[in-house]
Amino acid sequence: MATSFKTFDPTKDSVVSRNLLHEAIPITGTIVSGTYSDNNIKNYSHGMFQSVYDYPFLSSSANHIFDLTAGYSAGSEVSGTSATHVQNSKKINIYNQMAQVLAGFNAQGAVREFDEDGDLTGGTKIEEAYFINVTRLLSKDEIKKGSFTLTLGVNADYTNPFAQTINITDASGSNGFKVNSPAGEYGILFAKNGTGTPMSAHGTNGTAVGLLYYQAGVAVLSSSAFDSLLSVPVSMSRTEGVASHPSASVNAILSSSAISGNCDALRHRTENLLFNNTIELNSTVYFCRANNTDFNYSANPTYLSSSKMVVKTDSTDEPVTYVTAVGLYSADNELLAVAKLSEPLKKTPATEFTARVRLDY
Amino acid sequence: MPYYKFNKNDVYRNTLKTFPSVKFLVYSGSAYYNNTPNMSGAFADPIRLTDGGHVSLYEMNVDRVSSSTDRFIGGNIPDNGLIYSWVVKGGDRLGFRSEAAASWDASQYGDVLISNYPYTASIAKEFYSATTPRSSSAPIYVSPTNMTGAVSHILTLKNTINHYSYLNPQFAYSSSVRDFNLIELGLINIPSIFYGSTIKQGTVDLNYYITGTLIARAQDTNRDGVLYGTYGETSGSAIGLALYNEGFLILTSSVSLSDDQSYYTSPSVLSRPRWTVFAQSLTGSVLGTVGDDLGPGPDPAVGLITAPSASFLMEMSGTSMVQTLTAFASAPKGELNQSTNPTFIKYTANNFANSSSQAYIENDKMEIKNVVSSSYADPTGSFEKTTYISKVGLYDGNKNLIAIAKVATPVRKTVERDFTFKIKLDL
Repeated sequence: MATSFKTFDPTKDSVVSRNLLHEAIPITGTIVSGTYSDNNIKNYSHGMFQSVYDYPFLSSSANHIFDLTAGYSAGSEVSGTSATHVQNSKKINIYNQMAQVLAGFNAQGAVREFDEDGDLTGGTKIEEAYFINVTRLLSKDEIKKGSFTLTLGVNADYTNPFAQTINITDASGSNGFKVNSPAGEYGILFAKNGTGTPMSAHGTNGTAVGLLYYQAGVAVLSSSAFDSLLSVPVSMSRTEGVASHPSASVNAILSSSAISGNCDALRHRTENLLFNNTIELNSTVYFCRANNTDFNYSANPTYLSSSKMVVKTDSTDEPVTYVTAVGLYSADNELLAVAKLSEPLKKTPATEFTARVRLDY
Repeated sequence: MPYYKFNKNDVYRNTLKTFPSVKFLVYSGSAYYNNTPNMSGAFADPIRLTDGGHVSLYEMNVDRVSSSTDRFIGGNIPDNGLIYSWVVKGGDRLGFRSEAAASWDASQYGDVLISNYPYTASIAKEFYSATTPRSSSAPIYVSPTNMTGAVSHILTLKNTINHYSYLNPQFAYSSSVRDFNLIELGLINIPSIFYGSTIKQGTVDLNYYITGTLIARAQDTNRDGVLYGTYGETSGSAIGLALYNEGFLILTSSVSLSDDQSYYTSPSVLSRPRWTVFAQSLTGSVLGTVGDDLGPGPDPAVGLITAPSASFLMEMSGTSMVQTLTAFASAPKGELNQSTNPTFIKYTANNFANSSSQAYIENDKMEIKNVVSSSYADPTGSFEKTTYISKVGLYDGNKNLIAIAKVATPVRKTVERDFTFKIKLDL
């Protein structure tokens, strides 16, 4: 065992690296809006959010893909305490809970409202919002910036929602994300026309319509996506348009329907949800250097036969070993990890090699 | 809310050794793992995109099928309806193991490399006839496939088999009694995802059925890895070996178990049931065509090996280590007797604090609600400070709440009572 252990020089023999692995996550709207007759939608007795699965959730094969909920701030115009305001306090609680985690508190200790452009000093606030909480199973370490696309059907007719669509993307996310959130980085969601021209005009990037929190995996969608953003506000529950039935407008529904009803309405108008996720692979690479004079002898019982090396024919032959594994030891010589070679490597005093051992975690 | 620090002996970690049951039923070209059925979905059949005998590593693509949508995710990643992983080829030489080195080398830096889900694993069966070469420079035909390597799988296990000779002399690749290079044998490969760290010794139980009737059974009765017949023609005889740590079963007995012949190793040659063809119908169709030059050994014929009258049941227990953290949270006497819950205070109209522009004065005479049980509604029992503990929070060093343990029903805590909550967390 004379030269079995070699001490690493931490400055030269190991390096820590980080690689990014991604997954493409397409969620087609049919899964969300009705393929499984809503058997993949779980509503809870507390009524505060709804869970969406990719298959009927009673099956062991089903994966939880995201949660949906809706809420508004206490100062919103849709807030109220009359009998027509259903789950008013729950909706406010949902909004405040999301806002305090994602937007934080202001200097006076009050919960900040979501800001449409991320500039907290002023500007338009998102007071009525839908929340899409993507599960860790799909978002992993974070949603990849600049990859999020949500296609919503915004045809005025509720029964034919996808005749006109808008694409909501975090197009600026790859280089324009914000960092002033306690929950990590976030980007602004912009809407552009998809099918048809439901929006009469929008800027080059689109019109701001929500926020996307990358590490938290939460999309905050302003209710304006179904209302003021569009030339014709959409009906969230009826075939007839909002003009003849104002009670079917998104803000009216936010006020008069339960949270689950609002989530159902959003799902009904969801055509596609696409994003890439990111997985951080942290690795340490150890360069295990076998110099010409190292590791040329083995303590393996089969190495010797009658006190002679079995791999040598003549006594004058140079010693030979076959390296099959590299062990990584702690400072007090405890074996921590073993790296195996795919095939034994021949080692003689005439050869040198460096085994590159990568440890992922 | 009071915080208590765990003492040295209040937290410990140990390892739970569990033995999950593993069961495979092999019948007519298919295997079924722990009775998992082949379910069809609304879009995909089967819904997991893999058979009931396979495990899907991430189980991500449930009831999805690949089809072009002409959409892209985040610019240049095609949306084909399936969840898949991708990585950009860079100087770190990161790639997917499923991609061949030549293909990786041929791609440009900056290219997107793709790997598909599901990743699956399943059991496999190989049949070696007495004449099948164990090593050859040409491809070796081992029913049902051609092995392109120069060394057969059974020969690569030679050192491992010999290593276990200290358990039983049956563990010898080659001896005066038999030579694995020269006898007929079957090799069953069980990937470790099915059994964990090792197959539990003595739990392998093989059952051979013909038309639903048990004709033979084999078990490791001595728990040393040698499988003995316990029912049928081979009862009492060694019929094979189990490599528990490596997940292989080597079946060596070619004693006829019944007169009921079937097409086990070839779609054209009838043969009798024997242990070497146990689970052989798992192999399904035979690859290649008649007359192929597949090197030494018999050429395979085209067709199906389904042995429709035979079914095979293979049971065992795996070994899985589960690390658990146990913490003892103490609620001492004379403490935890006050609550900030609003209902802890008796409701009266005077509970409000007086506030003005000069002062904020709380009512210091607020009365604690007497909840001591009594036979009568009024008077109640003698007052005693009482709280009900409903949950215990675990905090890290920075007082971040990291876990909450809830009790099934709130525990009544009075001044003279003390409790210790045992909190267990699987890691």
